[in-house]
This record gives sequence, structure tokens and C-alpha cells, in this order.
Amino acid sequence: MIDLKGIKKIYANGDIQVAALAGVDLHVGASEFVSIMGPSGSGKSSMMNILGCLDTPTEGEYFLDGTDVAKASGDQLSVIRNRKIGFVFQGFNLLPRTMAVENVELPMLYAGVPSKERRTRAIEALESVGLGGRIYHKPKELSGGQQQRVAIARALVTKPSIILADEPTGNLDSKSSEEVMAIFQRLHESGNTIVLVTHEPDIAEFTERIVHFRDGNIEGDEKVANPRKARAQIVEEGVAK
Amino acid sequence: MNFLESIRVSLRALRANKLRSALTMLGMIIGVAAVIAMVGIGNGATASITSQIQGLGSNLLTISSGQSNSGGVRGGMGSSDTLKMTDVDKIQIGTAVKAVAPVANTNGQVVFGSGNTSTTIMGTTQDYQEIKNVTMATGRFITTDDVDKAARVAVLGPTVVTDLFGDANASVIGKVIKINNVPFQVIGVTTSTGSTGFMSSDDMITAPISTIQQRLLGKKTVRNILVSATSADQMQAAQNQITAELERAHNIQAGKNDDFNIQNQADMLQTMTGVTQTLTMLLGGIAGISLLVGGIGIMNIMLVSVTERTREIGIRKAIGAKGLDIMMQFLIEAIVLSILGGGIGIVLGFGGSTLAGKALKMSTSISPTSVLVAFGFSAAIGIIFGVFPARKAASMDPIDALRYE
Repeated sequence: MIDLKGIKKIYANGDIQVAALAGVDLHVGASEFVSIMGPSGSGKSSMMNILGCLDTPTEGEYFLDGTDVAKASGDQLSVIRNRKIGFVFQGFNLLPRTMAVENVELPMLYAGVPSKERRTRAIEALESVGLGGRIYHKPKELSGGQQQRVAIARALVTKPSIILADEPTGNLDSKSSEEVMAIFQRLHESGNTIVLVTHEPDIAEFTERIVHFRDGNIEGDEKVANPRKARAQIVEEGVAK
Repeated sequence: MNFLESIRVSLRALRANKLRSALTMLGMIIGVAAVIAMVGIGNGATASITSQIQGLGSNLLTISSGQSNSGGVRGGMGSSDTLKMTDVDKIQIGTAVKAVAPVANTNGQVVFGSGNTSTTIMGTTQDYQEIKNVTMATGRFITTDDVDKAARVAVLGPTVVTDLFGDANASVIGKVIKINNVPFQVIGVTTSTGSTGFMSSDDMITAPISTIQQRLLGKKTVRNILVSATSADQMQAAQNQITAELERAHNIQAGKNDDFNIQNQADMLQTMTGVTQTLTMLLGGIAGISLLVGGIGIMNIMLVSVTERTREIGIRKAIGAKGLDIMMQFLIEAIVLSILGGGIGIVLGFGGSTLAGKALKMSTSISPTSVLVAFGFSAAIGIIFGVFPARKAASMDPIDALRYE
């Protein structure tokens, strides 16, 4: 699924060169649920950008579904992100003044899916995250947890190879956080590959494998013996109104 | 993403910011409306001047005296009295020349009872009627007999009738008026030609040239000789013929300067329309500058919009928008603004020039070319001024764009 070999990311700042990633090897298999942890400056954000094909490594090979994407151009990366990757961001990153269903349709718009099919699939995705009753709401009419669930619906609607979540609970209270993690666990159970970046150990405990980063290198890579089960009940919201 | 989807996305963005979109369009609206209205008014002015000059008489040649040259000082055209009554007979009526009439005019104080007006007194012969297409409302025009006998008869223009008798429909035939204290009997009234201002044919008294020379001028001066050519094609032939005949009559050797000038009405028309066309170009040019300013306004707003929506661009790119998709989105926004503004501007310009035409009592004409040019220009401005902001948006790095606050 994901194969990284000797990934280096070097930022040149004037004469000083900073290696954010100093030759990382990482393998993530299909249907894994992995969290990446590390203090700030450890290289986990650079890792996330490269994994998400938002950025290319200075050196090394990155095989995503068997194809090397390390040397792809900007537009090729756009296509790869569109087809293979679903993003969930800390700040939700929904389009303002745009209904939830249209936000979810957005990746399919760029994939060239016909408008009727787009709408059907977007509504299905929203229903699967428990927002069947909020499809015509705009982001500012939704709570933080609901917005993040819209973002998750947007990430999974294209049936991507991996879902990448960058601090998905960073802006949420603990109840909403648990709800979001419950959705991730359910997605994982239905066979999705999920990579999650976090600095909160109790969030990482919901995943099955934790990769620790420090100073641009992998410091530790451990299986979680007993992943915590997110207990939050996903309530179907707004339907009963 | 296909083109139709791009348009939909762009329209949505414009609708989301209605006031800003409207204000941005205003620049284009004013620019295009100004171009259309200015060119329309200019074209109307050209057309009305053309018709006025043509109304002076068809295929008209005007011969005037040459310049005086006394003591080394050259006077203006017609400043020496070189034209004589005998010159009129020298001009042969034939294939090129249709009619010839001498003109001697002066200004006079005209009195009837308590009515009193100052107007132009035109001394001429019966052929003047044919040359100037004079039509009579009542009575008759002057005749050969009147000219031969130096009869004190006068043909009045309708404005003179109103000024003198207080009523345009007053019965005036046979009444005796005084011009500079010389009594004249009214024999006819001309129909109104609608011309106004200096040397209007409505505000004029026509009388036999012989009478004017004897009674009012006191000398046998001929101010102009008017000649009508048989057709427009014969204008040049007529001019050549008259030049030869008058040179012979005035004993002017080959190579010497003529002591008379021949003015061609077509030349005058060309000069006048040249002037108005230049003015039209000037007005259109000034309006064009405002169109350019409108275009810069669009670029300005698009640049602001791109910066403001950096995060949106980042999101779109992260979930799979290619550079071209982003570029199209912003470019279409700019083009929609400019074309919509241009369209509204065309309608407003059309209305504006019609209103201006009504207010100035002249006809205006909107040429399809000016509409097409203005529309094409506004579309082009949208593209030209939209490309730069759109490229800026398209070339954004998704990571930086997502991090933008």
C-alpha cells in the first residue's frame, strides 16, 4: 500500500540546510490504522505532506499502490490526491458559504463524476457519518464535531486508498473527539487504510500501531496491544426534526 | 473538471459577493456605455452635418473673388472685387454646368409698420431658385424680368415673415416693406427648410441682384457666383471648365495665380465630416480609457479575491484541483464580470445616446460595429486582466495555501 524508502526532505534556508526528514523507511499495509506521533519539529508534518502527495521528497522513493509518486509533477500530484487520498485536517478546511453536501461533492467535481451521481454519493457519505439530517447546512451552522464529520465524508466519498488525518481532533472537545475517532474506527473495520497524525497519546491509543518521530527519524514503531474502543454513539442528527 | 462546471463554480463565487461583483462591473458598465454613447453621438453629429451641407444645394460650386494685394498686405479670400456680372455670361451652360447665379448680399434693417428686424439681403437672379432648390410657400420667386428692370421686389424667408408681421401665416403678398429705407414689394414667401443659425435660408430676404447693387450696395459688386453641376460626377469637369473660362475672361496667363477661387461642396463636406470623425475618435478614445480603467478595476478586485481565497484554493488543490482548474475558475469569474458589465454597458450606452439625442435634438446612430467592438473589447479586457490573478491563484503551493490565515 504505502512504501517509503530512504525519504529525505531538506529545506534550504539561506546557507543553512535543515533536514526535516533524514532518510525514513516506512511501510503501511492495506487496512492498517496507524498514528504518527512526535513533538513539534520531529518531521511528522513533513511526513504527512509527503504521504499526502502535497509535497515531494528531496530524495528517496515513495510507492503508493505500487507506483512511484516521488517524482510526480504538480498536476500529476493533484490527480493522485484526487484518486487515492482523502484528507481530514485539523481546521476542517470546508469551503465557507457552501452547503455540506456540496463540500462533499467537491473532490468528485474534480474527478469528473456526473452531477447526479455526485449528489447521490455525497448524501450517502454524509449519512454514513451520521449527518443525514444536515446535508443542506453551511459550515458555520454546524458544530466543530459536525464540521469534522463533513470533512471525513468528503475524504471517504472518493473511496481513496488511504485516509490521511492531520490532528483531526486538535480543535475538538473530548466528546466530539471520541465521536470522530469512533467514525475512524468504523471506517477501519470496513477495510479503509487510515494514517493519523497526532500529539495526543490518548488519541493515538485508538489506533492499532503508533510510529514515533524524533529529529526527522523514526524513533519507535509499536503495535498497540489493546486499542481503546471509542464508545461514542453516533447519533443520527437532525433527522427527527 | 469540464467547462460547464467551471462556469457554475465561478458564478457561485460571484453571487457569494454580490455587492463587490456589482461594483467591479460598474467600471466596465461605465466604460462600455461611454464608448457606445460617445461614438453614437459623434456618428449622429456627422450625419446631421452631412445632411445640412447637402441641404445647401446639390452639386454646388461656389466661385468667390480672389485675394486683394495692396502694399504687400494680402487680404482674405474674396477681399478683392474681381468678379463681375459679365463673368456670369462667360460660364457656358452645357454638359457639365446646369445653372449659374451671381450673388451679392448685404445685411439690412427691414421695417414694416411697427415690425422691425435685421437680416441678410440676398441679391441674385432667377436661377438661384434651381441651384438652391428653393420652394415657394406662397407667391413667386424673382424672374428675369425683375432682374432686367431692377424691380424693387422681395421674396421673404418664413422667419422674416414671423419677425416682421408677428405671424407666420400672415398674408404678406403685395405688402410694401422697407429695407434700409428703400421700399420693396413682397412677391413671395419660401417654405421653411428647418435650417437655423448663421446664413439660415429661412432668415433671409431674396431680391433681384440688380436692385440690390443699385439701391443698397451702390456698386456693381458680385460676392459669389453659384454654379450647380449637372451631376456629382460632373463636378470636376464643371470646375475645370469654369477655371478656363474665367482665366480667359480675366486675362490670366498660364502659370499666374488666379484672381478667383472655386469651392467645391464635396470638399467642404469632406472637411466637415473629417472634423466630426476626428472628434468622434477623440470622444471614443477618452471613453476607451475609462474602459481600460474598468479593466484594471477588475484585475484589482480579482487579485484581492485570490489573496482572500488563498485557503479555498489550498483546499481545492489538496482534494484534487489541477492548476488549470483553479486558473479557469478565476479567469471565468473575470470574464463573466467584464462581459456582464459590457452587456449592461451596451444597453445603458444605447439608452444614454438616445436620451442625449433627444435632449440635443439631433439624431444619434449606434453602429453595430461599435457594439461589437465594445463587447469584444470588454471580453478581451476580462481575459487580459483576469489572466494574471488567475495564474497567481493556479500557481499557489497547496501546503502554503492551506496554512494561510
